[in-house]
Amino acid sequence: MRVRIKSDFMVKLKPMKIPKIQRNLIIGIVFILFFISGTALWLAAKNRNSGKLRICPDSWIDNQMPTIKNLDYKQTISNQYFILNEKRRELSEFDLDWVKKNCNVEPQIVD
Amino acid sequence: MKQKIWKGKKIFAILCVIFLASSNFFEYSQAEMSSSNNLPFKKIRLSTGGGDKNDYVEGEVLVKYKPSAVNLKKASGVSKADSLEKDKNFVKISEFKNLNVRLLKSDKSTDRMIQDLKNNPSVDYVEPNFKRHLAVATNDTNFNLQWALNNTGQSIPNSNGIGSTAGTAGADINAPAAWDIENSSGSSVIVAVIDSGANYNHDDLASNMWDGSSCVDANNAAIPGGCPNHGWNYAINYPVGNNDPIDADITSPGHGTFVAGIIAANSNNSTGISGVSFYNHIKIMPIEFDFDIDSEIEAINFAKNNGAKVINASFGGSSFSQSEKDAIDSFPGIFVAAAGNDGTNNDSTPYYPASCASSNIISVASTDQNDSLSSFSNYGAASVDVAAPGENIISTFYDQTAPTNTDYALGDGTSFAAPYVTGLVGLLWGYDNSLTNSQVKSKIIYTGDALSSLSGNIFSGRRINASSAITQNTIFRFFNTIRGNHFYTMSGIERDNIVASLPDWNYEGVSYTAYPTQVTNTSPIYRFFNTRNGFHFYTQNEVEKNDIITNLPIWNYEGVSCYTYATSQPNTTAVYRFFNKIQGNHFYTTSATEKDNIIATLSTMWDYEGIAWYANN
Repeated sequence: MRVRIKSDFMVKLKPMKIPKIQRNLIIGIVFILFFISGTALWLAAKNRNSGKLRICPDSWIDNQMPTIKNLDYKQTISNQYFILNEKRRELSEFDLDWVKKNCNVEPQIVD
Repeated sequence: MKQKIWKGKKIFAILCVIFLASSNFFEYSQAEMSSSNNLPFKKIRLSTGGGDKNDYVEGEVLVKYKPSAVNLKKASGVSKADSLEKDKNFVKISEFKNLNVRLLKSDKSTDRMIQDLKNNPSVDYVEPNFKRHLAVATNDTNFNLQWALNNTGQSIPNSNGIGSTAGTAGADINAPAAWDIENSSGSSVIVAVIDSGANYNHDDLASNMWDGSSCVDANNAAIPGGCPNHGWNYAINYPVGNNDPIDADITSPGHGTFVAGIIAANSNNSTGISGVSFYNHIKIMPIEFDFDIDSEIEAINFAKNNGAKVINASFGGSSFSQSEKDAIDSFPGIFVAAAGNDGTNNDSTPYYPASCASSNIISVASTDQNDSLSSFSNYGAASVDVAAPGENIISTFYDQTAPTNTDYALGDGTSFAAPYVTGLVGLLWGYDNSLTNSQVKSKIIYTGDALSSLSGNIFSGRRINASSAITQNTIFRFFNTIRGNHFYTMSGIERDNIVASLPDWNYEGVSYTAYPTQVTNTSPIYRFFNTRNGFHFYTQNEVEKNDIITNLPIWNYEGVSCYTYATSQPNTTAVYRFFNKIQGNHFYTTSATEKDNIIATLSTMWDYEGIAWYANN
């Protein structure tokens, strides 16, 4: 009985022949997992590089009101800014290229 | 082997498709998200309702007699009419014999006069002396583009040249109604525009420029030859300057000409646009400066020394200058300043000179054609006083590259909101030059239209209304810190005197607005002074008034204080009356919160006596 058992065991240890269909499926799954993780990493890297908002602002203001120029005047606030949901948002917060490409918004000159 | 490579390629291609699809999916999702965030944002204007409350002349009627009973073409008819009118205490003002009609006047209300006459068998009909308004506000060719003066909901081309924007009827400063009251006999008001200069030869400005033939400089020294170009230029050859403020500044070309046109373009001259005064009482004194404090101070001094009553300052900066504030404080008139275009809160990030704590400054935010606060406008619940139209504004322009005297342009900004306030100051002083600074400032700030878009964003929560400003006055409230009583007055002179010389009285601000003269549906408020304890008492009740005059000699009757509504009307607010059981004085408030607090916590001292009258909201 033991021998037979061993014999059966040995038989099971012999190299197994995996069917072609199953093998292609495994390769496919591995590739899918690889590309999904790669895509996720790529997207994450892309966003991390910009770190900027990709949202269309409501309006783009270019303030050209005459300003008092002496007093060691410090330009503490930018002349150009966006309005989003009624609030001022700085241009530097946005992916400007993306905004220019995707949003129908032009600078509104105000005096 | 080839088969294996091919299968590998197939898998790779499928995965690439999956990859591209997934990346496009992400892009698409973002686009969708941004699109939803880019929806146009529209606010609905708070209706001010109402309409013209003064549509006929109070105390006057037109009466037509039946010719069979009273024929005004005959002496007997005239005699009958005279007798009938005398019985009723009516006075004849004029007569139209061909129509058998007379215009009668009385101390009675129009309603009462009609009641007295309408059932008389000799009378054919009797009607109020209705007012008629200008069918077309002005004949200026581009008046239809001046939504700020008269917003009918018309579409205005956008200042960026792309498309147009429709407005909301009534979202304006209601200039035509103010022009019905303004008259040609008013006095001239000099308005200094401290800016980039102004094209004083512009067809729509030339006749409304300050004369300047006899003028003095910033140090009050006479200038030989005067100021032939109607102003001065401190941007060149500082500090002497020269006499040509032609708007040649290169950093803000045309800015001052634009501002000047909003304030005082020649109205009703069949050309271009209208200024804020229909009768052209405002005269522009352009003072070009170098957009620095030094030349600004020179400009303020020049304006002061040459009789300007108002200064328009459509400029600013983030740094405080004590010398700038001192110069503004020394200016005896009103200094109107643009609140700024940074879209920021001036309470936390001040913008000067608008944020200077000077009593004669009016800081101005901007509204759009639909009465929303402009997205770019600075705001400040404590530091920005009032708002005025400042988007898609048309005005005179000076194009330095190809100068003509016929240019107009469209512009946006608080730079162009401030001039509407400046123009209104000029309109008010042109109509009544006895008004004090504080009266004019209060009228402008407190008589405007209360808007939900401005509530909590600017001090008054209001956009200016020229018609209300010219017809209504503010009631100032004081508290006596020793006796504990209150005092109310409409007189700006009285207010200023108390503030200046009676330290026992704390000025508590504007209580409400009322009318200095009677308009439709209003009744007088009678004022009494107690000669024993110094208290004042106010009542609208005719019986109470007569009773006090007859039976309480310690109360001096001081006359009519103002006119308010006896019953609730559109856009009015209740004035609650209390009686102090211990001291014997009265207290009046429009604040429901104050009323409720007194009832809840001070009922042992104060009796609530109900609504005294209704004041303008």
